[in-house]
Amino acid sequence: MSEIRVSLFGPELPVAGQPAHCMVGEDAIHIRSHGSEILLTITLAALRAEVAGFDHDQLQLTWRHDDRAAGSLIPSGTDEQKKLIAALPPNTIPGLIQWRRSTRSQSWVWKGVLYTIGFVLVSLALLVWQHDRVVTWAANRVSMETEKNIGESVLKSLKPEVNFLSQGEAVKVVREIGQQLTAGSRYQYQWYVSKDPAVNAFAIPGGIIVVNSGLLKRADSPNELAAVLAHEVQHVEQRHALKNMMNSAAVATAVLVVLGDANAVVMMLAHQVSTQYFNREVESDADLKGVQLLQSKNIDATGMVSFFKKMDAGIGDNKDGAKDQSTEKPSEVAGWFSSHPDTLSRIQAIEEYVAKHPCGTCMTLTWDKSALLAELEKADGK
Amino acid sequence: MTQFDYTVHGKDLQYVQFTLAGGQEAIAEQGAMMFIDQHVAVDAVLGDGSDSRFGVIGRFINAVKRSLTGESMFSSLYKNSSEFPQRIAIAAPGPGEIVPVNLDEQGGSVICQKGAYLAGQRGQKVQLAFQKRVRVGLFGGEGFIMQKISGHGTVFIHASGTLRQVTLGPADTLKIDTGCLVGMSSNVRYDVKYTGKLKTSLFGGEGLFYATVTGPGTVWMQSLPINRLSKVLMSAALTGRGRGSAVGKLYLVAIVIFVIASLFIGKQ
Repeated sequence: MSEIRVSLFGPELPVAGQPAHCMVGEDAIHIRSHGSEILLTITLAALRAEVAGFDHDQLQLTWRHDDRAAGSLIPSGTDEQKKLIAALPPNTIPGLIQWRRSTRSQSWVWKGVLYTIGFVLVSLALLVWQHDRVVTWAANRVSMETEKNIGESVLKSLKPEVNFLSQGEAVKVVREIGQQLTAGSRYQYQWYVSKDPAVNAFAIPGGIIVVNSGLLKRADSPNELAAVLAHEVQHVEQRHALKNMMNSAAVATAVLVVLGDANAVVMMLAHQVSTQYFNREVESDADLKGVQLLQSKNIDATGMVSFFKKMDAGIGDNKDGAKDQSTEKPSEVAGWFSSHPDTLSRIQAIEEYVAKHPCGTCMTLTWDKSALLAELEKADGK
Repeated sequence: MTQFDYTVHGKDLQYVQFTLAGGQEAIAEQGAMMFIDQHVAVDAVLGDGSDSRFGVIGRFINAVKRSLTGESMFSSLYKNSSEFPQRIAIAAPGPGEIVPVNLDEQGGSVICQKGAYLAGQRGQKVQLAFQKRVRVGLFGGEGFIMQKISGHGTVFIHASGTLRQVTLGPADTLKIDTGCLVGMSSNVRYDVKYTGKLKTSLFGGEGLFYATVTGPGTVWMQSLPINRLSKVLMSAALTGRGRGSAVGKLYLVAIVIFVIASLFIGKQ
């Protein structure tokens, strides 16, 4: 029978407890102070186990005499407490089983909290790291129908502002090349030419592609037009608009979570920065995939490089604007590029790709440029 | 370690004055000094001025942990550099009482609410006591972080309102409004209890939970938690502005009318 060091508490004892020794017998515990005489003997049946201490991890054995609090003991230190618990028969003392359960559930709660926090952090890190894949996965969950509806509504909102040519040579040329590019696609493409001198083209989700007349005038060969179209087609095929929306939503959520509250300026800044970054990725993606698309349809892809180079030069030589009517205003040429940043590195990337993947069977396309121009002039004159 | 010879002065806005014997040192919260005698040297020390096993880095980490308990990173060390007894006076930072706690009587350590520590002898430690019970941390009114003051001798703690010390026998339980608990000795069990009646909790103004403390040990309570006081002051400050008399306002209106009218009169 080992002695266990305890602190003894009671009405006549010091508040911080009196050091004593405790021995657990067959049916009672014996407590003696530093002298050798037994101070107290309490039967196990009279004991009750309770939780004590700030951390709720101490065992307190209390006993009562004549219905008034008589005293209690608390083991001094965790080692002594383990000894005491090992010595006590668990089933005879009321409260001891509950004591064990509550101290154990305590640690479970914190383990749960820690693991949950850890899980959330790890999944957040994964989300940031595999951001592209997550966005692609989410974008692929959106049904074609929804995308088409979005596209239709965008087109509807554009129509009053933009002057669309519905038929004629220009639309025919664009449609022919476009259909050649998009044969076998899951999207049903619609091709539009808008009467806008700015050198620009854009894609609306759901397969609507709009080419400005300014771009048609500026293109020297149908291959250049095909390159621009392939680029825009890839925006549609890769669902870039949807991904951009999701990206913005994710950034907005992150800003709100981090800052708790955000005003319009902060939101706009976050949006700008994120779309700028996203755009760059998306554009190079559309470039490379566009080249692949061109080559898979047996169309010479060098048109993309030559058109990009022309655009890049067009930004520089605004002074020579008189040479070409469409470069009268710098902003008109810069239109396509302002939304397509970092041109030189893009040109380089495309050139590298084309050099690595030469296409022997690819052909150059032909068109009737004079008929096209005449048609556009007529449309401008109206 | 010799005990301080101290006196607490004042009623609601108190300060404690104690006498340092020659060479004796005391630690107090930063910015709490009221006056000191000529030969008391003041020094800023990191944390509570105690050494750490891990050297300077350990002391720094201890100081950071200490600062989480509502104290500052540095504290002021007052040393009597002469052979004669010297006085120092430390004032409470707000309305309330300063209570001396003899740590030796309380089993070597007490656990107090954030920022309760005011001053004490050198060698006493102020450490972070983390509330491991989620329920108590959320609803107990003291948050998850409290401070554990351990060591020997007397420590002065401060809380707003009137402080009351209660000694609990084994298994004695006291229900306290959450927020009124200031400190307890380390054997005391601190828990929260649902008030049990929806009506009481919604309309009784006492909140959903009581704090319960169960002995054996000592607890200290405050009559006016600082957030309750600030609530009263805040609402008074907000409504007080509008409490000018109607005549006062009319007087202002009259001035405005006069100024505007004088513009027109000047034109003619």
